[in-house]
Amino acid sequence: MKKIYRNYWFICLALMTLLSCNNDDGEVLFADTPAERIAQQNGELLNLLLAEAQGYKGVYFPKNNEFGGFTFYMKFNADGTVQTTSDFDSETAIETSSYEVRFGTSSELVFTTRGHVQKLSNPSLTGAIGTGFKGTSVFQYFSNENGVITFRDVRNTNTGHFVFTATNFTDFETESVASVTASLANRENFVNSSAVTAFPFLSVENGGGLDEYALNYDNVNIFANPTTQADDGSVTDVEFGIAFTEDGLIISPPLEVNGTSFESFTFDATSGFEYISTVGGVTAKIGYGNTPVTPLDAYAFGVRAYAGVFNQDERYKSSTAFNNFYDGYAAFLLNTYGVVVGNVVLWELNTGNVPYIEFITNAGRFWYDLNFEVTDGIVVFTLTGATNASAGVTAIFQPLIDAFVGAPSGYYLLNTGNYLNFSNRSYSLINVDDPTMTINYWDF
Amino acid sequence: MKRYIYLAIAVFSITLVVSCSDSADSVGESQIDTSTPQLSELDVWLRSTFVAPYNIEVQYEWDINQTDIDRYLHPPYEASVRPVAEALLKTWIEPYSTVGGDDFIKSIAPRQFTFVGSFNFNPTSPTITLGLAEAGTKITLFNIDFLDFTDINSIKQPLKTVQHEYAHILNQNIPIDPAYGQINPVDYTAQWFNRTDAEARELGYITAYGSSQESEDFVEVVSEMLTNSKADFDALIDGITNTQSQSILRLKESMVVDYYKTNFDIDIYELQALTEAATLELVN
Repeated sequence: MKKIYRNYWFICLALMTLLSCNNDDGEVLFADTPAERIAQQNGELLNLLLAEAQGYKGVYFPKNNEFGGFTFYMKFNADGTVQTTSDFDSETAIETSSYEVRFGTSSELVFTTRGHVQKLSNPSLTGAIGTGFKGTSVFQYFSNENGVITFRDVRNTNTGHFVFTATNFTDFETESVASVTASLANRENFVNSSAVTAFPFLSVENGGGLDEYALNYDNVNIFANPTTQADDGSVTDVEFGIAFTEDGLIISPPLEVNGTSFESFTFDATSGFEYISTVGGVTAKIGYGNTPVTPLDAYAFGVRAYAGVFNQDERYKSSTAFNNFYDGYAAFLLNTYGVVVGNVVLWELNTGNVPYIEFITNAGRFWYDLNFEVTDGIVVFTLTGATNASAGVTAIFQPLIDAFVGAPSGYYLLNTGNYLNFSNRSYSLINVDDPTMTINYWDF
Repeated sequence: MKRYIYLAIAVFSITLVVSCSDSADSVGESQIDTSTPQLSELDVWLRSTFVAPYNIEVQYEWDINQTDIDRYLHPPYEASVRPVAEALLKTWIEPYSTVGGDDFIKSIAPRQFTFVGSFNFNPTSPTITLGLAEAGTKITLFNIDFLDFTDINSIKQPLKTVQHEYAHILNQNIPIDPAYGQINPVDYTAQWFNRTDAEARELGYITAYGSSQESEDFVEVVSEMLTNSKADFDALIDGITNTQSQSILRLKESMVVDYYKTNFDIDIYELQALTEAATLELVN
């Protein structure tokens, strides 16, 4: 028995001897240690950031399935500071904050103290409490191709990206601020310009035809959800965020149509109010048209309510062109005649009595009887001639009468939700002949 | 004889095993980067004021892993950091060192403060988190970009958070008397945020948050005592309509006093006077 154990020990020892001589030197895949390779990767990114003496332009989409993007200019310094500006808001002055290149899940650019970049992760942002634009301070270094450096949001990896290109400025401090001021103005003009109509659209050449979408642009989130309706009533939509630049706009994700990808659009002042992208001879446009692309959600004018009151509490629901006209004319009336128009009301809309429009002023209430007819979502007014106003007063009020009820082809009707927090509805009348003129009312 | 043969083979084999080891893989130079990072003027000040004397790191440069990654937060302005750090020094470290001895904070303290510039909104309730204490080693202060150093109430907010969280850390070292939680447990609620502070006081809790649970109740009393003068604290209690609630809070106060005296030989009223004076000096 003892001999058997001794033999076992002997066999084990012999096996150990053989195995211990096994050549287990691993194959060397990298010449450097992991720590050295991390340092090299970080060094590569840091050198890249510092290489541009006039800094980088960055377009940052924090989450392109919910929000649009913003333009930044950044000049990185060797002392760990970075000067930034952005078109996020009107506070465009250059700020100096800190940055660091670190290794997290990969080499990361971290904006370590607060500056312009953090405006997108500000959870105190009005209208987006708790999240802001869901941005971050940490960006993964993803690629560097032909001078285009791409970072990804460490959280929104698939939807958030920050793309850097060299500014090629000669004076970073002045040119960067001028550029973001211009892009901010473009963003604001896209909704506030007096040239814009009530019908923003996206159109894409498709084969021999033209695909047209209602843009459905959300100015708060800078996000578009274009929709189009086929003859059979089916609705197709796409989604993208928009970042305005000094001379155009960028959409993300790019619009893909039949293998053609549209991403950068340039403002074309010659064609009205349009941003145009031409790729391989195919053109896509984002702009404003004169007619609705898809049927409007028409307000039941003459059916739903007794009266419509010019909505002075939500002036943003009226168009800039109309607001400019109205405010200008109100100032003229005040300065020339001392007249203040308190309100404009359309009465007797669903009673069967004669409807009329009334201008309620500090100089009296002036009414004009009218008829109206609603056809296919368009209301056309006709003045009967009956009024309590003198010819002189009528002459003074004629521009207002023309604007409110005088459109020869009438007004498109559009539901615009509740009036403030009340159950009353609000709706717009959009001048068919001049769709830059939209007047909003609330009903009762 | 056979035994000697086996022995010889065994020695030979062991020699082979040992001799086959490759000495080329012996431990070489460390791969850890221990070089000094780039330090700003602020970093140098923080190192000399907090790290060297107290072994406390004040971390203000953003590290997404130091906060809840699912929250949308941002780092502070660099200019916000030093005023808050100085406030910690003057109103927390120095008073405790005075009454508890120079080593008090050195031996019982969070080892890291993390400063966050933004508010920390809680997604599932209409509340914000002002601060967090983690495992007695770290305190996170939020919304430091929004403090107004000309307004004592604005300054008291982070100080309350620190006194609150530091009391938790003291409790983690020496637990409170379990009898404290038996004083008036019936009105503890997870929906504390539906109460106002005044309503909570009428129920015998010093603040609404103090009515959430026993441990928060205790540290809220500490926090209120150390961010109000004795006269203000007394006025707070005396202003309660319900006399039974007044008595309850006086009992809680006495247990806090006893906790500090018995366990740390600290007269909390002396500490209260020092923190109040330091806070007033900050604002002035």
